[in-house]
Amino acid sequence: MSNDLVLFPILIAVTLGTLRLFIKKRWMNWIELLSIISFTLCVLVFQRSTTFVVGGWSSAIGVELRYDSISFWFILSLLLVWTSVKMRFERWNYSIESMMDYLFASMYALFISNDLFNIYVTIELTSLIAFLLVGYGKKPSRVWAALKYMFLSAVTLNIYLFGTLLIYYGTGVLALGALKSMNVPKLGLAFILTALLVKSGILWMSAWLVDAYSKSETAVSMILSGVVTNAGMFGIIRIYGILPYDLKTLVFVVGIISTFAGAVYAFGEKKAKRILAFSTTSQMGVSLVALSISPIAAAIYAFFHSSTKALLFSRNGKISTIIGGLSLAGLPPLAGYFAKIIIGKSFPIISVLITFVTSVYVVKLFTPDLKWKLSPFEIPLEFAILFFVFIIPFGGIMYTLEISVAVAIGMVVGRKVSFPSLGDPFGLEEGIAYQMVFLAIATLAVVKW
Amino acid sequence: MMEPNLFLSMIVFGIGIVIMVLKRDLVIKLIGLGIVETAVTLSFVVVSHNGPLPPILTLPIDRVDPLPQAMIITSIVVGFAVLALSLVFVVYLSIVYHTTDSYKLQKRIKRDEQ
Repeated sequence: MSNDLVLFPILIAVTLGTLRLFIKKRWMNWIELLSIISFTLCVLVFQRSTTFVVGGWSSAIGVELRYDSISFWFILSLLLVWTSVKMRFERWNYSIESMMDYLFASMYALFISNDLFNIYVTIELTSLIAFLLVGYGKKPSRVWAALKYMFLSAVTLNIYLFGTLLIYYGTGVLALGALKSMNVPKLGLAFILTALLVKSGILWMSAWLVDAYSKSETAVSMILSGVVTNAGMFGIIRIYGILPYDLKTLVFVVGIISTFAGAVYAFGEKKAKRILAFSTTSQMGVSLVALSISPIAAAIYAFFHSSTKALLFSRNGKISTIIGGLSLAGLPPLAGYFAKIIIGKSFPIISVLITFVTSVYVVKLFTPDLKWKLSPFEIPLEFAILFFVFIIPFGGIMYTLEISVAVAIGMVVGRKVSFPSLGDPFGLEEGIAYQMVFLAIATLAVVKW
Repeated sequence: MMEPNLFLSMIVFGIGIVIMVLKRDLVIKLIGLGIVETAVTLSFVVVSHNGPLPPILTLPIDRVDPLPQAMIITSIVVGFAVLALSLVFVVYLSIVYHTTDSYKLQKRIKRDEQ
């Protein structure tokens, strides 16, 4: 199979997104859905893992692309969430429909890139589209959330660019494949890691996350939590191989802190959307913990998280909330259990604790005002959550029992105990300050005096 | 390892950040963001200059190093897009609330929600 096939979905999505600006008809939705799904599935099914440089240049000059198993999981999650959001057939502006196509193209381009500067450009593209989506509807609170998102992400991406520059200064190349065998400047890696952690939605550092996710429209929240959050995570997985030992430890510590602190914040909240937004920070922390075991574990965890969280953010009915909530908590036959098995093998106690704290806040999502109904757009996501039974073997009996007991106890505790809200220390200025503090910590971790 | 000029551009970066944190007016915050972006562009110039000579690589053939130019132009364009878009949002907020002070804006938005 030729390498150019990998690039084909980008071309299709950009073409359709541009056409969409001129042909303002409803049936364009179906053409977009069918063509993008079929071409992307073609890539996912037939393409073997490959590394190549666009245009046949050497990897020192050209843009190196890489399609492997990590890209596979991320592209699959992108396709699932994007399809289900499209299948809601929202009655929104036509320009937003073409933004959705561009979002698909830029996320896809991110998930196959293997070059530091290309990752910067694609993340910036996705963020620009995400700002427009968050601000859609022109409610002042939404516009403020989008503006905050924009300021914080612009600062962090400039930090990323500075790290890229330091690496370029030290080595002269930007392709990650070539950097693996080189002595990469640690300071540059510290800058890049800080920026990617901010983009991947870690508590405190991503101060924009809670407002942007809880105030935007339902469909936008779905796509933000299911797709856009993965952007930073993917970058971290790609650069994890070249990080020095100190920064790897830092990633693990940050993951643990974000997991538990995010759960505590989520437990203090009352509105479902805010609980879910804090839960995103907590789950991305778990994904970082999984990354310290193996990259593919983190990719599978991110896949599980995006499908589950998109389902939960839709708040469509009892069925979706129950399946999504139990999967998020990690009850055995659902995706959350299988995604946590690998963590359970290396850190059994941490895995049980994560299950416990997650189920404590998940039970607050089961409110009686939801109706029994099933809409077509949920089906791909529910299918993805239930399908994990067939591809990953069960863990041991003892482990399964422990997890189930943890979920049960957590749910009882969540029903009985209440907790005051921890406030909202996530303003614009605080966000920049958190970023700078973490940048200082990361710099101190790598620079030995 | 580091050039002294790189430290200078990092100081400019820090000035931009301090403006963004301390000033309450959104337009001034945007100017701070512009300073941050300029600092990064400036540091690209610092690392890619080659003394008084033009930045030409000799291996494998004589050519100008294409990476710094490509990165500078891309980062300028992207930074411009972000600045322009956030200015649009600031203008929208200032039309609704007749102020660009972020502290007052936050208070009024919170009051309107309740």
